[in-house]
Amino acid sequence: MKQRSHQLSIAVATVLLAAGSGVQAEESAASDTSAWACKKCTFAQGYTSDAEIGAGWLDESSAKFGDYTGLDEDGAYVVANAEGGVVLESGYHLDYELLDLGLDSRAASIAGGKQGAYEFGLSYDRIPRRLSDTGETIFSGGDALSLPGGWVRAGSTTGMTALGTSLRPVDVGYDRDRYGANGRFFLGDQWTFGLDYKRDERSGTRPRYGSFGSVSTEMLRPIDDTTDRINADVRYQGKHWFAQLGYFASIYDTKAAGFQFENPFNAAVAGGDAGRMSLEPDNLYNEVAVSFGWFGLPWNMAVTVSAAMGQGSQETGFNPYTINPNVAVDALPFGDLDGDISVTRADLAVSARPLDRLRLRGSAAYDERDNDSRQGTFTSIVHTDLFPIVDDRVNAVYGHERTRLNGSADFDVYDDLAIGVGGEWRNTDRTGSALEVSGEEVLDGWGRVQFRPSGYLGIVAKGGVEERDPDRYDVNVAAGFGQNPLMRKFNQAYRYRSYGELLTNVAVGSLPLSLGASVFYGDDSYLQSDLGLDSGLDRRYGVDLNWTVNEKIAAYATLGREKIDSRTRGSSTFTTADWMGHVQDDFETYGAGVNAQFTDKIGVNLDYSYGAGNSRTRITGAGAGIFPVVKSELSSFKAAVTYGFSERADLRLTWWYETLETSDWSYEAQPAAMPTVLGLGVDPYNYDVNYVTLSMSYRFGGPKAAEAAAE
Amino acid sequence: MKLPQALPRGLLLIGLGLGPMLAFAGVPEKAPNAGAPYSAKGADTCLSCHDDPEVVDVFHTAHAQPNDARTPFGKGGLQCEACHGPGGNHAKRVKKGESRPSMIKFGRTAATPVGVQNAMCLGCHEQTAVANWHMGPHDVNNVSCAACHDSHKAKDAVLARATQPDVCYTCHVAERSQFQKVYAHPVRQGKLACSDCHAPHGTVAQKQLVRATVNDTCYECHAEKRGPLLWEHQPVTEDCSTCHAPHGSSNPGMVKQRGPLLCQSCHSQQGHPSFGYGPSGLPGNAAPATALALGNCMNCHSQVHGSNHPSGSSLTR
Repeated sequence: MKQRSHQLSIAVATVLLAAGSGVQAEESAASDTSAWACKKCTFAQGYTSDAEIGAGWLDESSAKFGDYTGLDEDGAYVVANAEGGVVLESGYHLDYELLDLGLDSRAASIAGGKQGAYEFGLSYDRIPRRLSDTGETIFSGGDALSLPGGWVRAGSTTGMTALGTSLRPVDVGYDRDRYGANGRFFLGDQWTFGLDYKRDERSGTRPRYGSFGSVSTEMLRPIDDTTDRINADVRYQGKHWFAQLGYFASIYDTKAAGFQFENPFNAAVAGGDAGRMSLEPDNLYNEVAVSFGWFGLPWNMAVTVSAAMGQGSQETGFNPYTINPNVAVDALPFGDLDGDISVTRADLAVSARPLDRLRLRGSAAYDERDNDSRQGTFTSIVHTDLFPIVDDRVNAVYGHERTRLNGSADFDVYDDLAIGVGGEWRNTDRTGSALEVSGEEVLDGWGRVQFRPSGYLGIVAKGGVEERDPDRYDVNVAAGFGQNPLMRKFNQAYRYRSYGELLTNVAVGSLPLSLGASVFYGDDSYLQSDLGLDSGLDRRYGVDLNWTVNEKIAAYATLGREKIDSRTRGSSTFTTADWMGHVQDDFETYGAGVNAQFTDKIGVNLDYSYGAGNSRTRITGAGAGIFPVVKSELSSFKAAVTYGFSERADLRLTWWYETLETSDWSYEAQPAAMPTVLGLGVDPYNYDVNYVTLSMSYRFGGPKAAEAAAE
Repeated sequence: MKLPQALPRGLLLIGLGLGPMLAFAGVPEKAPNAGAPYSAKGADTCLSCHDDPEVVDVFHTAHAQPNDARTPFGKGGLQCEACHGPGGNHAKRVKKGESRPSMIKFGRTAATPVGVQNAMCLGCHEQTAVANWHMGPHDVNNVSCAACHDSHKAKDAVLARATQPDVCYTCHVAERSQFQKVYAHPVRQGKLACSDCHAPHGTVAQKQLVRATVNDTCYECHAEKRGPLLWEHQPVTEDCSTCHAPHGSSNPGMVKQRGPLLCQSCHSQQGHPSFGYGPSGLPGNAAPATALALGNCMNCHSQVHGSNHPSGSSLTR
């Protein structure tokens, strides 16, 4: 034992010595910089600030245009932006940014500190979700949706005689307010302490369907929740290594974990005139992680290792089986799930350059989701608050262990030509209960050629094949779910994938003009699936051209196209396949723009982009037919003219024209046309908007202020 | 021989065998000014010629902080030559007919090999922000740091949420198209940046995601989906991208395929899940299918991400 310990010590010492000598060989001699006064260095100092104020006008209301932008209602808007900061000679600085203060998409941030000593930041960002403004609902209320007085129930929407007078327009959407605070403190050269806190608050509504038997209603479910996230870490930095300890927490808290709604249809059974839906419950997750890294090792080797353990929980109390008072139910097996998720992760990454022309990379990653939530037998399940389910059901728990090994080697055959090969092995073991396929192996192999004769031309071609080989399909488990024994779920089915990719970068230095182009091809075949997804074919290409005409004019142009074809087999007779769904998604885009400073006073910026999609669905066999094409066409043009009428003041005029036309049979279903589903009647997205702004901006401070401050 | 017993002996052999070899490990790529002397006055020498605005803007960046000893312009720092290499020869008077010795230059079209460019950046940054740089596709594809970063600009476009995507799109051309689809994350609107989901400096995670798994990355914004729930939908717990196309889709909810076909790629139960729904079931026809229009399957199975309702086993409550 003692001898082995000595051997181990000597071995480690030898490797470390070798590592040390290798590191030393790469370091160059330092220069004496004591006389480098840096007198011509114009370090930032003083304050500077840009403020913009003005007005904007939007000529048409559109929820879709206002989604994320906050420009959803026609009329006037305030244009208000500002940014700036102050830097002291001592290195302390404070910067701020205020964006779109006049819009619902406003954001603000402040950051300060002394670089290398401590840093802090505060931020706010509102993300407006505007989902629709063409819908109508009969319901009122938040988490208890009630029908209007005088409502006439019927077996189908066509019989709801009070529908026309009861519908009221409703805007659907919610706001996400994101608050952030972060700080970083440096203790000497080695220690860093970091803390990052984010809080998301959401409030509003989004659509949710609620059914009673075979009829359903689209309603507005409430959203009223917060998510707090904390990232904290402490890091020690050595000369050629680091160690880091981190903590992450996520706390999701909702005030809307469910809602109740009345049934606008005739109740199929007594008491079936109202239902209750559960929504996402509170959850909590904590994780501790450690990581280490070593750099500058022999063979130019870098090694990183990390490991993490997390624990998630969910303990929200259950709703009753039903709120239908006429259905007798047993007691629940327990009052809440006592949801318990354990997460374990570990990974190792090694890269090395043992020869000048050879690069080796390898990694191993493991992650486990262990679901220890409570399981029980639910003996009184009531389908949609109407019918007791005859059989008892045990809640399944799902978990997995995934291992991934990845390795690649790249060799520079010549200075301008490199070839590479790589492979990846992935293994998934599904844990838990009620698993049709308990695991799978994926083997992926690829080759790559890089030709880069100069900085002006680079070509990368990559191609490979991947095979996913699942474990035995458990027909008995599938039968328990009522599945056709020929079905193979596409995410667990055997799959053979071939793919190829070509990336090119070309630059013409004399113009200077640069071009980037990419082509991708991916072909998935589910060769052992009689039912389910049969194949998928993905083709993409794109070109991006940038031209710096001269110091004052720059232009760009882009185009791209993506085509995805897929086929799905089904059996309407619960035997062999008797129908097939064919979907062809085609999307093309192009765009162009120019940024020009024509004179010292006048600058122009123009941008145009276009995107058009067509989705074609065809059914062959049982139910054969061709669906109307789902179309979308987006054109967006932005123009901005800036006139500088002094060194500090600019006048800015912008025009944003955008049009979106969509046709979608999914949304062309007004209530009367869909007897079994009472929808909100939302129209497909169509808008044609102009948004014009006129604003003045002024620069405060800057070099002159700094000089004055210095004097 | 059992592995624990063999371990020390193996390590010893590796150490003894590799030690001498490692001591002579060479520098992979040479800088054009390798071995040259440094300039006499540092930045003052450089700025005698290179005083144009795009150069001196560096003094408004994090690299030029005289109070931060870690930066090139900190106390004892090599100033411009910390990144561009020693400029003693470059700054000397050049004889007629001779070309001026090169410095290390940065950028997509710079003559300096990418390996040399990146080695200069990694000399400081590898140990901090970019620990897994060599594992990422950007290193694999020989992308220089300066292809994305402009370290001389006070406002590096790739560091701002609104301008970052355009930098990424110069190579990731297809993604520009995808984010223009009707249903997409708000990258086009400047509310989400590529780096909110992806770690461009390399990571062990697939697709260079910022968190270890796809789901953990999604939970950054969609924490309500984390669960666990009483009735889980198995693929939801495993991988959100089984159903969703995060870069955009022509289908509501950014799903890869429109229902009911998407659902029928997995579900084949006798009765309504297994029917071939043709256009005769569209609204307005004699017998419109409940599972075809509006929310299709989700008209009833609306709790597709799982349910916490005791009667939610069919994901209807």
